[in-house]
Amino acid sequence: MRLARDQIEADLVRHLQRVERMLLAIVIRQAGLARELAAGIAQFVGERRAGRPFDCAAFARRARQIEEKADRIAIDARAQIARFEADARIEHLVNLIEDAIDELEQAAFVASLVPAEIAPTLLDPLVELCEAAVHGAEAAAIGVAAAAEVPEGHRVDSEDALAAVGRLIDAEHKADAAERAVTAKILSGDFDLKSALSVLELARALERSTDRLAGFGHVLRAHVLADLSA
Amino acid sequence: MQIVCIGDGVAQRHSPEDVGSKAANLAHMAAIGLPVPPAFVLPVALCDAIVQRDPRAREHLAEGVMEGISFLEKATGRLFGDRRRPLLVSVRSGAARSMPGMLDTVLNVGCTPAAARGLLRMTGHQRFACDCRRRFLESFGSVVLGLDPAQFVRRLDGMVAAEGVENAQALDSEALERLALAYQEEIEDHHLLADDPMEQLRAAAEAVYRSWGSDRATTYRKVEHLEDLRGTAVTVQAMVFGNSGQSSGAGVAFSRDPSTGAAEPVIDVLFDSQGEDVVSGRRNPDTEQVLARRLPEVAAQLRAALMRLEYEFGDVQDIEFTIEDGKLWILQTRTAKRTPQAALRFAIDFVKEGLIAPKEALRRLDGVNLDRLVSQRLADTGVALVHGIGASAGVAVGRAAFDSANATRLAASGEPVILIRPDTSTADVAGFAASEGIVTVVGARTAHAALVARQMGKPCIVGCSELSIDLARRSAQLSRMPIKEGDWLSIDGEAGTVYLGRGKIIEQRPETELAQIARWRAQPPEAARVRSA
Repeated sequence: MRLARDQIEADLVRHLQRVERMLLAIVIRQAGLARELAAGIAQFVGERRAGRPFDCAAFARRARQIEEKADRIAIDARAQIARFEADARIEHLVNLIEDAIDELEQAAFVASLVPAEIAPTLLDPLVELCEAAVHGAEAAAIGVAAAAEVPEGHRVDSEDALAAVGRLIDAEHKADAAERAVTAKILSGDFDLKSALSVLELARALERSTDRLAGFGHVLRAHVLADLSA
Repeated sequence: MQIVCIGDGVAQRHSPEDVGSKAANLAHMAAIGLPVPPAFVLPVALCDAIVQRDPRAREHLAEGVMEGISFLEKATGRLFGDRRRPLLVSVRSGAARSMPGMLDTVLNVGCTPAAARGLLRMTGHQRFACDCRRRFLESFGSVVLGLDPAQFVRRLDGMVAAEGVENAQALDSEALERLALAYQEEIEDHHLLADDPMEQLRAAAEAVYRSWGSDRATTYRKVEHLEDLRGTAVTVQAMVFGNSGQSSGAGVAFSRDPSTGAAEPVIDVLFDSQGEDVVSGRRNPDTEQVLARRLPEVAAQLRAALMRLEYEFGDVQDIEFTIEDGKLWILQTRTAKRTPQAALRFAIDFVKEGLIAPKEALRRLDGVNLDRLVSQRLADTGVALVHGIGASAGVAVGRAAFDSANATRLAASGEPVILIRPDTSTADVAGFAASEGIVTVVGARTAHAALVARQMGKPCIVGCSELSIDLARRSAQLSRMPIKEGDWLSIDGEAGTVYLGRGKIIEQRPETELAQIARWRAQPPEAARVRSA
């Protein structure tokens, strides 16, 4: 009797782990789309700084498509989470990364409105912000990929997951400092309104995306610690 | 059987007869300190027995692979197929004499589902991880399992259309993930797909050995009089990734122009891509100018490497390179195939620059029929309908044929032929041989097939975006002007122009250069042996 009960429990644990892995794979998919958007904005900034043409309208359209796809993924994820009555923290992760994607899509939209004749130097502080957003999205994916392996009991996986959380928080700090640098440059300089406003809005949207990713990091840490103590 | 290890401080040189020219040159590059990913080589000596499916040879291969992988794991600090820090490898052919694009290559070997997760775990780059997985499935499925590559192309085209994007490059990470799953389904409809990386590697190495006996390789050896070659070696090299982002890429470069002979490098690069995208001829790459704008340090390193290699090997070099996150890697170098015109110019320029003596220049021109060497131009053609990229200089006039079989048939009836194809594929080698010239819709000057056209001395134009071909209806459009098979076309492979109708070919001999060759030939043997500078 006891053996049968143990067997059932073991099967249940394996099932829950499979479900959790499947749900975390969805979060990784979302992080992948967040990185696509952040890398696209970084490419826009790089091309504009170098004075090369960049099809902003096409990029904004593509960003919109990606954001809509990410929305569909999030809706599907929530349905799966409800169906399997999974850990609420996973739903929180889904929501936070969806928010980050929304901010990045907003940044792509603003980028499409940045005047073509903008002074390249005004874009310089955006490089760090873009880097922070790309690194943040990457750290989110790495952290979740490592977290998915934690239940197998290898220490390296929890260490990697927690290190990724650290990088998410670092990225947010760097983005915060870079956004302030943009603000200071604009307010202390003599730029036309359209240029100043578009760059400021772009910087703010990027910074907010890293903010959401840092929040994601805190929830991920809680998830990993819960797994470790289980 | 003994494998040969290259890179990671190993500075030994090897004979092309034993390890193939590709591996011999790789070892040479590693020995002089150029950035070469570590590799190991399964020797030419094993080829025949593997082709004959000798069980003892297969055991030797398995032992060699085990030993080689442990060398690569030590050199890279990664584990083959690992789920955290995976090592992936390329499995390449290499005979004693170069046979560009004629033998098989399998890339991203070891990219199991676990290793793909490992790539994500290392980089956080989901698109890159999925791209490697789908590239592996395509390469392994078509080369090792013998599936029709068109099946993968159909899946890819379907995904591109469903996502409403322009091409595969524009697919996002989620779409690439689904594409990889679709490729896996495609394979599993016909075969059991091994998820053991060592099993994948052994199968890939055997497939590369067996490609020695493929129709195109056999035809090529016959056309190029290489029937004496004993077989191919197999080089297994740690993958470096040109598809890991916008500061990565892959390309092909020549130290001088192999088409015209001009003393300027020719560099083609595709960002966020792997080398196969360039040499397959299915995409239009960027130029050196674009590389210099985006990654100026890499562009400068590449030029320096080309000069160094040309000096080191004493001849014009054709290299494949990869840029991984802003770091340049040289994957192979070989003596560049060239048009007869370029061969003449190289010989004269190399003597002028003091790199070789006149005697050596004359030796290099041995296979070139100087009496028939003429520079040609077209007359009475009217306005060019299409402009592409000149990949092999020279002019040609002939009747249009849309595939190799029709080109061969038309040529057999005594008609000159211009082969018109969607891309430059080495599968068309028989059609190339039958044609006076080749024109393609996409492709690069550095694609394998363009290289073969140069070697055959056939004018070739690639990347003609104003040309479209409807193979099903056996028709084409040159800048909206409809043409059908059998219509007369005239092409200029240097200018990259295509004309409708039967132009006149005006010939002119390069008298100044030929006079120089005649003077060298008239010199006493002692003088011809001395370098001029």
